[in-house]
Amino acid sequence: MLFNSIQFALFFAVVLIVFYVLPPRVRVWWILLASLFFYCYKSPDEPVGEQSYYLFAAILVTWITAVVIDLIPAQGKLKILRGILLAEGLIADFGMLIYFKYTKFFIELINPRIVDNGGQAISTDFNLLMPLGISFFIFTSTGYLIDVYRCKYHAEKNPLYVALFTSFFPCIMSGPIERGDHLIPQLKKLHKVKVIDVNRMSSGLFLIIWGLFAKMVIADRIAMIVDNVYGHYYNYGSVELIFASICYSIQIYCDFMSYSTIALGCAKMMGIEVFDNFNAPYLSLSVKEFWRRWHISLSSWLRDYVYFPLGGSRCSKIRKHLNVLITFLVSGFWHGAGINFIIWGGMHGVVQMIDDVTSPLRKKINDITHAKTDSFGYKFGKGLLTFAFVDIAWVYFRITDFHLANEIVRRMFMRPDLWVLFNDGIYELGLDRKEFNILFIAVLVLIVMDIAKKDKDKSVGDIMIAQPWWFRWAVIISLFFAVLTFGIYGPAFDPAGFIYLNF
Amino acid sequence: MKLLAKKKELQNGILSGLKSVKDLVRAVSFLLLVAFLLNIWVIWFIPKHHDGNRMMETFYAQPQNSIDVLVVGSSHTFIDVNTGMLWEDFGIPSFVIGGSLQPFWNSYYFIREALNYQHPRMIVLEAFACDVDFDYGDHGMIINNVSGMRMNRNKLEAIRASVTDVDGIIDFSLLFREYHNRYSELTINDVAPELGDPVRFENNKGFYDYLGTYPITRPVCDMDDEIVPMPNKEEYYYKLIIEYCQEQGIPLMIMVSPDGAYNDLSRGHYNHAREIAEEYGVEFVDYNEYYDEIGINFETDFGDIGHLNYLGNRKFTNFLGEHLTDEYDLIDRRGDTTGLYDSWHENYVYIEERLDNYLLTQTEEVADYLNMLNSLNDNYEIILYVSENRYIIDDLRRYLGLHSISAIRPFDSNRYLICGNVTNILTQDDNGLYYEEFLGDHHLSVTNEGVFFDGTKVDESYYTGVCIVTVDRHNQTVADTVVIDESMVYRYESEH
Repeated sequence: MLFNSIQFALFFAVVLIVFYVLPPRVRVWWILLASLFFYCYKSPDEPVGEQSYYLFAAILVTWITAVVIDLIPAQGKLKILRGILLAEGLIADFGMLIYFKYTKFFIELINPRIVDNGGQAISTDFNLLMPLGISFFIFTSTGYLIDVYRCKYHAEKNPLYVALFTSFFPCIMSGPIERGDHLIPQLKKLHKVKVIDVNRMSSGLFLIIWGLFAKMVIADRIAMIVDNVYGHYYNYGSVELIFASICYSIQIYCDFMSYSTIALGCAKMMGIEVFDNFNAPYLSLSVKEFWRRWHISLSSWLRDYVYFPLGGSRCSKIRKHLNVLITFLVSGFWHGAGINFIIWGGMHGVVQMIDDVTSPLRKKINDITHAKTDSFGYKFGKGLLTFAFVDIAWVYFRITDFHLANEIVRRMFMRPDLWVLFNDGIYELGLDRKEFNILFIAVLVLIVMDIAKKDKDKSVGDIMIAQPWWFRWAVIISLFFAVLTFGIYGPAFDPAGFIYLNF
Repeated sequence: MKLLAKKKELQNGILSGLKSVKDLVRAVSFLLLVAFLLNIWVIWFIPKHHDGNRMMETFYAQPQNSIDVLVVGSSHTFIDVNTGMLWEDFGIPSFVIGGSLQPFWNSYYFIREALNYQHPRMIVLEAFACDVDFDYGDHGMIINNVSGMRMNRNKLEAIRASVTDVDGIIDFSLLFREYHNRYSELTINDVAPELGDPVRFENNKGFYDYLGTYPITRPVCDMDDEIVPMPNKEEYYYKLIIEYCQEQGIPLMIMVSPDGAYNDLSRGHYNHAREIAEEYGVEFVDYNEYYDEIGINFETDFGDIGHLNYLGNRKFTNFLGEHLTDEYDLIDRRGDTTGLYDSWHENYVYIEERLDNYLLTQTEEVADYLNMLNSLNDNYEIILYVSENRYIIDDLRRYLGLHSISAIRPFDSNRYLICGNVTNILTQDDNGLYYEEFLGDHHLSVTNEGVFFDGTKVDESYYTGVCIVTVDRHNQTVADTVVIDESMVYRYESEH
């Protein structure tokens, strides 16, 4: 059930109405039921899809392991048992993830070696149907297990809360990746959520509509340019390819941000705050900052459970750089079983290393040249460079074939054709002039929102609450009708899934 | 102290309650505003198909229990059965609910829906659906045949009968998913649908006069009584229609309209339909057996291979009207003074004037053209002026004198307005405006620059001669714009 489908709209409307009609104490169970239905229901013939069993397994493993770990004292002779149990839980959880996501990748990786040594290649002619959202619910579960192991908080004894924490429907497919000490206490207080809270409701509604706007008006429209240009890259020169890469940057941002924003809005309407996953990432002045603003729940997960255990920054410089690189390689690998994702992650890691290593030198140059580092121009230049790097890195993310990605990047710089900016060639990349104008206005709205978000350092929902009611109404209604009219949807349209659902 | 605390608690409770009420009022107001705007949005965006939403929209606008003959079926109904003529010549207030390739399962629900608002004295079911070979029509066909119905059980049932899956039911129930992307094709007629169409609502009876001619050869059919079963699903709903009409006590006549594509297979299907109708004691008439009696000329009476044109439908309707008045218990409503049937006369005038306008645009000879102008009724206005101040030859002046405008003279820069036998010389005001008039919601103006209809220039002055703009006030349209000289009619291709 996609967030931008009629089915989800009906589902959520029913969930929300029943949520507020039911006795408050029952709400949590209702949300659990709704979450399991959302994830497990496949069709009337097969009410519970086969893939759902892996979610149940993850819940069971997480609950039992956490409870048992919590029973064992953190100090003393039995301490080692906690480690063993944690390892068992992580192996079970990550085992599932690796099995579904990486089996083919590893086989393809080792097959050439086997063949070189005279063996017979292992067949990859099988189809492992990856459970939807597995990367997200596995990271949620393992984060929880590690937190309990670290005695950050106690394990939740009631399995139903653990089940809901792991399967909470707004987050299960594409995050945000929640933490036990953030979500579970809120689930336990669901009965206290006020039925009528105009601010909360309008903030949630705005987030949902804003998410739909980003997805249906921007991401799915701009995808037509991206798909066309990347699909026929050989027909295009530098300007079109650079333009397409910028479009893809906007597409993937709007696509993923929209999912997280809708999740945020849905949760908010039920009185639950989940992590805001994005904070104007393309307004970052460095790659490091970009990762503080992009997919925040994953970045913080990797920081807490990969980077810190590796030693973080409290070690030698070389080790620190290595830790950064490893963390970003893991990040790339998490996004997909493909060399291109690893390269993409590696690029981000390497650039951060370079950034760190050259920092004193750049400071010195700035001092010598009396660079006005606080000026708009300086920041703009830094922001532009950061965006340019992120943009090029996205090419490797989008194009699964490494050599093809290299070729596209090469053409981005080696096939100058500036004239297309002046001969209306830009309107022949997949969107006609009318559609292009709609896209242009929508992207302007996105930029304004992001500037406001960065400036206030709040979610767009919270920014909206602070506005006068008439302004809120005008914005919500305008966005709603923009989605209704200019959204890419309907029978003639093959609904585009959210890109991050694939991860 | 305790009392004070209690008082404060009570005050807080009241304040909180008031806030809740205020919030509730605000939320409800917001939802009402969205619903209001959504309603406007739907009016703007919904496609205005003649055989789709628009026909049903006009059906719902009919005075209750005013329709005596309800005609239901495929496109043959709304193109072949001339409702204006049924009224003017036979006094029958009729209405056509037709849809392109309308299958019986849609006809069935249309009839059910219609009977919620009307109690016709009889129903005519057109049986082209026997001859179609699909159980589920294509996208456009389904839209044409369900989009106009109001959202109720009949509509949902009609959709359910038309599609196979839940997604289809959702798609056709929430049709905005289909038409939301019309934003690039919206016109003023979408935004204000009542503009420019005097027959949009109750004056529209579903009929659409096919203007144009498509010569065809007379269909040859060797088969006589052989039966070819119609598709099972069509048969099921065909029988349901018959049974439902009988339950309701409404006489049903089933007919097949003259069809240039008539062949052995269709004849076989219609024979099956006839057999079933006879089992139920219902009259079945295949008018493809009466070409000569109707007087159909295959050279001139068809608009395309399957449908009659403006000549053909008048012959056929005359034949059908005589049959209906002879065989069924119908009342001649023409003498009615209650006003209930006034809209049928309006419908007739609209249809006839639309044809006159068409014929005017087809005329190329100067004498014929001027004669046609003379024959137009008082609903027409003729705006006339000399183009480019050129000399107008005597012959032309004589022709134009038919309208008592002999005042026109060489180097004449005046504008003339002729309506009926009255000719006015228009004088220019300080703003350069000679004349303006509102026709319904339309605006007609005559200025130094030319003649404008809704702000669009409808004449062309680069020809040498007399420029004539003919305005149909009843149908609120510019019928024709020409420049004529002594030899011929030059026609400016205007969008009006």
